[in-house]
Amino acid sequence: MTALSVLIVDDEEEFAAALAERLELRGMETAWASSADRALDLLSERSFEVVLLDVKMPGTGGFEAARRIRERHPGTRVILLTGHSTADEREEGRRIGAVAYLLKPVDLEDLLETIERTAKERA
Amino acid sequence: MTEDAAAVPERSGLAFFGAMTASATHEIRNCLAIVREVCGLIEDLRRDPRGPGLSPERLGKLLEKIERQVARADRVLVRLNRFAHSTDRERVVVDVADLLELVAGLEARTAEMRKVAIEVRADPGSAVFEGDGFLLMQVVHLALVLAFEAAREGERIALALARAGASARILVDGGRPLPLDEAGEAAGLHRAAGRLGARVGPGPEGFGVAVELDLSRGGEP
Repeated sequence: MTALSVLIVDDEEEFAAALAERLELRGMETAWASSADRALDLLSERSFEVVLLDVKMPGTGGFEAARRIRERHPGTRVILLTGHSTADEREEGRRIGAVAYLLKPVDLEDLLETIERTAKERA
Repeated sequence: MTEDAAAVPERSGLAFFGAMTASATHEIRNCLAIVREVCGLIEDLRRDPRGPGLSPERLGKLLEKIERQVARADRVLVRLNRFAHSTDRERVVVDVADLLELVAGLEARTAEMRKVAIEVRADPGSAVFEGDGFLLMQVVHLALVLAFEAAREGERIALALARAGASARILVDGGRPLPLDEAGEAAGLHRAAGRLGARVGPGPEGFGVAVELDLSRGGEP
């Protein structure tokens, strides 16, 4: 069975790197990027099944990045991560096609369940 | 207007308070998220039966990450606490340079989101203002909002303080002219400055915003 591929996008590099390593220890194949632009570059080089995307980032924010990912890579599923969540933001996330909207600090078990469910739906 | 109605804070003051609090708490959440993931990673590495385990060197590096985030969250909390206490009394004596450093710290995350930097150029003790410290911070914030809107990625916005006799000039300058029409985007800035007894106009050569504070009047309109 091939490993699930997950791209983590967060300007908090230490968060992205630690989370990536934790997912690797659970058998996933991961990469991380500290900006939306870098993530879009990575996605043009190789495909990922799931992208974990921080909503608030310098420059291109998470919502705009999610829109572009959905346009350019319709097979990739986007899970949004945020430091604070409002009903408006959750609605915006749904509208642009994000499959889930999780609050930081994220519970790893919840995240794993969401990633695996998302990957199964994609398949 | 009744006394109670007069005591209700202006909506723009609440909006300023909310924006600063939201930004600070968001940053603290980010610190906590990193601490949580790094602690989780330590635990994962310690328990991983397939890996080489957790070496003392790796553990030390991971603990340093936690220490850095705790220190970062502490800095944010210190600023947030000072900011929260700025509403305690309507009339206080403030070192304007110190106040500009506080506002720059509070606005740092907003600046980072816009990929610009704030640079404070103010000598501590060069200007002391007696009046509503919260309102003065709001005036600087509203000037910064205009500067942020005009700034392009990678630019610096100066928060400069100059003393001239009984007055002090706070210059918020990103090197671009700003829309200071009282009927336009700057209406809130003019209103807040008026309540403080300060005047607002363009900075030198028409760039940025200059806020003129009359120090001798003690912040009375």
